[in-house]
Amino acid sequence: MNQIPLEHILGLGAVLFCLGLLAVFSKPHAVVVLMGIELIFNAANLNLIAFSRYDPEISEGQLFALFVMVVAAAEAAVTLAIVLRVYQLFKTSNVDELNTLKG
Amino acid sequence: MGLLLVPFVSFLILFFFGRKLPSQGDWLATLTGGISFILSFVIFTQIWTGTPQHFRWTWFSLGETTKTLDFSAGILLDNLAAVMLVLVTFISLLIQVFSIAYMHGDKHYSRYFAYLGLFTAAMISIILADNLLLLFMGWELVGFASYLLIGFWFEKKAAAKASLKAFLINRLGDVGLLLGLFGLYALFQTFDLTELNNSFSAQNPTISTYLTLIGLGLFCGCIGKSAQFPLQVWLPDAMQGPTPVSALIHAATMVAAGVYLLARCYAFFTPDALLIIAIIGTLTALSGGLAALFQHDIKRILAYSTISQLGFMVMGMGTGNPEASLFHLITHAFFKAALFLIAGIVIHAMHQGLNALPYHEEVDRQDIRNMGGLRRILPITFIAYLLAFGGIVGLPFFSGFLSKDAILSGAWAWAESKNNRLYFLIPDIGFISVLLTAFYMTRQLLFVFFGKFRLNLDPKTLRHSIRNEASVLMLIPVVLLALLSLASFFAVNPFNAASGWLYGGNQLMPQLPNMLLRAIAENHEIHVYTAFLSTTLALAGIAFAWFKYRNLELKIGRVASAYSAEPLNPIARFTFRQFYLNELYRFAFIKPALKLGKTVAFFDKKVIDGLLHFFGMIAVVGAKIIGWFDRIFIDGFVNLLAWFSGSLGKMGRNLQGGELQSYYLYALLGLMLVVLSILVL
Repeated sequence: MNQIPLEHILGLGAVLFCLGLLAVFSKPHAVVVLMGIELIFNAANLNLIAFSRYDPEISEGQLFALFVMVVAAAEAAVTLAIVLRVYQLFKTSNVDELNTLKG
Repeated sequence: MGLLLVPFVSFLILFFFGRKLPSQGDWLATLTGGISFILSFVIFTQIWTGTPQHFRWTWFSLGETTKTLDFSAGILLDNLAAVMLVLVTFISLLIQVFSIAYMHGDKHYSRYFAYLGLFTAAMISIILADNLLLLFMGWELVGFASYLLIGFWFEKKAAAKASLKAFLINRLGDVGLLLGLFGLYALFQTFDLTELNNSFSAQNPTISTYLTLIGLGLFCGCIGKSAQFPLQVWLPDAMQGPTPVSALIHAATMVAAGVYLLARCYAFFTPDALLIIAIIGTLTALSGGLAALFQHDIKRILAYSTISQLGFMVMGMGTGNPEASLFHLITHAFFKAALFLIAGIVIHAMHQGLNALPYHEEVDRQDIRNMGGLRRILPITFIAYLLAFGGIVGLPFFSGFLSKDAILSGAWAWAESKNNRLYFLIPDIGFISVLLTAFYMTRQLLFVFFGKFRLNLDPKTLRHSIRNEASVLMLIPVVLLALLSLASFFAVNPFNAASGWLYGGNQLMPQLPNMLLRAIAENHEIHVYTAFLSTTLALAGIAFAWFKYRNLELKIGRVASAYSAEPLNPIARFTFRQFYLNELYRFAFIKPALKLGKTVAFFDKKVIDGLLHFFGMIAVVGAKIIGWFDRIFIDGFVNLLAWFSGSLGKMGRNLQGGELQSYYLYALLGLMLVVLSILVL
């Protein structure tokens, strides 16, 4: 079985991370921002799984990835609820218009 | 001193408060006039044939303490000053009384009396001045008062122009007077008359050309003020003033100031200067007489006659007989003032009669062709006129006879004392002037008082009321003045002036060693001869005028403006227009002066203004460059700084923009910085 080199997997993870960041910084819609966050999580998960290949007995990395997915699902539920509340309050889900945080 | 102040105070009060005083303050002017007359009469009785009084004090000092020039001021009261004082205050008092009636209802009634007060004060200061500087001040003040009074009806354009003309021409003479004064001061370092007289009696004849020039300078002042030959043109125009003013200033007193000046400075004139004075005086006497021949304006005739008589006085001065000339000054003052006041009465009467007519605006009230037959309507005025007429024509038993005779015999003796027959021209022309005087005065007499009244108007309306022909206030001064033209007031023997109190006794000018007078007194022949000749000539003039104007061809009801304004005869027109002197001056002086002014203005506009414009343009261009530099560089730099700090601020503000995503970004950047620093360090 041909081994996929580690560098490729790490590169994919970096690309995913960057795309996620790009989505987080540049997309106006709050839901798309959340999707970017998911991308970042998954980039991190990919890294965890790739590194876990050097640890076949205990497979700590794969477990950690499962944890992340669970927490991310919970987080997604919470943030979606927050987004709904925000939409109810401001009548918009565009993050550019939500600028009341400034001093 | 008090004498000087009284009319001046009257001037001040009237000028500033005149309108508020009851009946506009005429009583105050008359009262002060009366006070000054009484004062001067008292002075006269004390000074006359007594010792001259001289008060003086230091006026002001000039220069350093080591070498100060002290100017004194003071009062010199001798016989001459005393007589002149009485004359001036008396006539001015009478004229103030006359003016109350004449000027009644005028808009500027109180101002008129204020000016009269100013004039009297100035005239008294001329008479009393003991030095020439003070005299000059009075001289200028008199001219100023004359200017104000000629232009008294300044709404009339002619009056305003006439006042300006009189003032300017007087200035011209004053320049000469001033130069003469400077010359005297340069020679003797004093203006004081007594000191000057003393220095002159001890002077050496080496500087006599210089002295002649000084004398001519002084005489220039007299030419201006006394309307002598080249500068006499202002006096006829001065008749635009109110008639009493003409009587006071332009007949009796102010114009005589020039003659008074000559008498005061008599010792300073060299024989050459005196010769020129005599020639000018003779020319004036002749030209004034000629110009009066064909005039129609009642006042202009008298004005020219005044010029002629002033010429007589100056001729008397020039021919070495100042006493006779002063004597004529005094007699002339009385009868000429009387004549002018009579003209005032006639004009006033014409006004009153004409105001009822519908076409009265067009009728000239002063044109003698509109009058006639007034002897029946104004009998007292007529008799007064006859008296004054006798005076001015020089009939025996009248004052004018005595004084003219004195001047003429003086001139005759003077001409005889010279070795040249040409000198006899001067008394000869004097005799011709006597003839002319008689002619034009008779002409006026016939036109005004004889024949029939020539306007379509009941002459009775000319009278003041049914009982009085004119206001009593007007008649009294006239009658008084006319009576004073009788010879008996001046001399016991009406044929010999030397028998009088005023003339012949060397009273007026005792400082002169009057050789000539003594010569006349010894040479009785000349005296009789001149008296006879002048009387004959006067009678001839009267007869000539009588035959020419006895049957006046003028029609009743025809207004004078319907006749041609100027005589048709070219010679008559030549004299009528006063030998075209006005035109000559306009052509010779006024036009070139205007042209010069225009040339200078052109030069100014083109050259000076052009230069200025050029420099201005350079300055503007430079300023523009500097402005541009300012805008681009200085402002640019400042703007750059501002922009820089502004954008810095904007950046700072953006950090706190409240946008969620940027906060993320900053957080990320911060994180990366931390990571980077860990990795690098």
